[in-house]
Amino acid sequence: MLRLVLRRVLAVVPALLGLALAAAVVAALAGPGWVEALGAALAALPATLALVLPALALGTVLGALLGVMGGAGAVLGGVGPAMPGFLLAAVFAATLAKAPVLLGLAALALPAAAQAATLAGRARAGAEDTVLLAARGRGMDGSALLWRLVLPLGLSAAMGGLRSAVAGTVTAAVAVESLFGRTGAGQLFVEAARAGDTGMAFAALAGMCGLTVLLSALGGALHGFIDPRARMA
Amino acid sequence: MHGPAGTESRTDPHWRDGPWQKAGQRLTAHRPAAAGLTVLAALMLAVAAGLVAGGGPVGAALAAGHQSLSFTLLAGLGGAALGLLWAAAAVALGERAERAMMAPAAALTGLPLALALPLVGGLLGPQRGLAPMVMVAALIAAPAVAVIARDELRALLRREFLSAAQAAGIPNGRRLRRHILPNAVLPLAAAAWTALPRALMAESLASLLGLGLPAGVTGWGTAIGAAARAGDAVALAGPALLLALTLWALHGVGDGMRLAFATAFSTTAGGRR
Repeated sequence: MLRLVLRRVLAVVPALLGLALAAAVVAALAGPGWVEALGAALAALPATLALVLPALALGTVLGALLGVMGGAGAVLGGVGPAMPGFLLAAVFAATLAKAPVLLGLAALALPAAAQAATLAGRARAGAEDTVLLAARGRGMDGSALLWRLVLPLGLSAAMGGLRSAVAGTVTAAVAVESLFGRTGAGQLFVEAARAGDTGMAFAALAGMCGLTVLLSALGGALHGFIDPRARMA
Repeated sequence: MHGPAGTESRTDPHWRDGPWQKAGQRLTAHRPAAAGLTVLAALMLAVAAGLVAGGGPVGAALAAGHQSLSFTLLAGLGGAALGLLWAAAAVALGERAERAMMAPAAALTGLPLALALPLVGGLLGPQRGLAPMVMVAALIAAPAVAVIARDELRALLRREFLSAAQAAGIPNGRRLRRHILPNAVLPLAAAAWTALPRALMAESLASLLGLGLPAGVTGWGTAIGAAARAGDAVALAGPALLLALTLWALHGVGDGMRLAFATAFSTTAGGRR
């Protein structure tokens, strides 16, 4: 597992360095305070990570579970395209602004769960006539089938779409941080963009792109750990 | 059993319907796509009616829809054109150029590209013009279209009927005109369609943050952002519902197009002489 993580992370190091270099160049061209801009963007990233990571983990696992079980998962996957994270964040901010942390998490987790449910549902449907039929033929049924075959299949399929889910969640985190007044790279990005501060806005955007690349790489490593077929990708 | 062409079997729907009709039938047979098309048509009519009638929260939401949908259409068309050109150039220029051109496109699809629109909106200031925002939204949508279109073109170029046409000594220009283009149109249209929801999402997010459509132009995102900040659930309901419906419809039609046209693609793969 550690080797897989290292390999995936090392593969994205040039991209991360390129993003850092681009942010430094743009910030330096925009004004004298480029070191402060980069420092502020880096300091704000952990808060965004603390919002994005649990939402992604929760959304992917719950979505995969619901997706392979059908019913609610199919409904969730069906309405998924209608509820991007920023729209959910706006709806929650306008109607239920009592618990911003939980609502922010829900606004980010639901779209990820919807995508995971769709992918897991498709994976289960694709395996019905092959793997699952063979397992049933060998007498496996009920919870053993779900936990040992169906859920790993669904989870693997859901993790195959993690790259786009990470990008979508990081994008929606900007709206969540802005609407709920949470500190983080998204809030920093919006404030800097509104103020026309090119250096700070670009540094915050580059930071979020770096976070996306890193999380996608870690997701890819975890996918490879769960499903050996994904290790070669 | 079907007889040879030119006999009474011409009256059979299987022979009467051409590939375009069959593709249309497959698209409308996909329930989310049929529902999406109906919703989109109803939305267009409602937005037009709202512009004429106006007034009230519903009229305001429909008027905002006019701005959002116009922006989406322009940016989506631009993004689709750019993406298709990107993919076609990559495939036409050979394997090495294809790798070099498609690697950045694939990398860009994994980034939060939609944030480029609020970035540019903020940097251009409140008096920003619509044209640069449309161009940035088109650039945001292009990489995903390029990746899907390249995959479609590669799949098409691997088809046996093209190898057969090449083996038969049909010249490149004729093969392109008579075999590749007619079979590529529908899958490429499905790839191009993905630019529309991407452009709408990017515009709505940027406008929600107050960094999208220029000052004085109210789209769904602008109305949703203002209502969310004011905590006004009633004002939020109309534009949020319309935006959600439009996104759902666009995705439904896109999914239907991918499914229907991929099947149409395989059944019309015989080419035309």
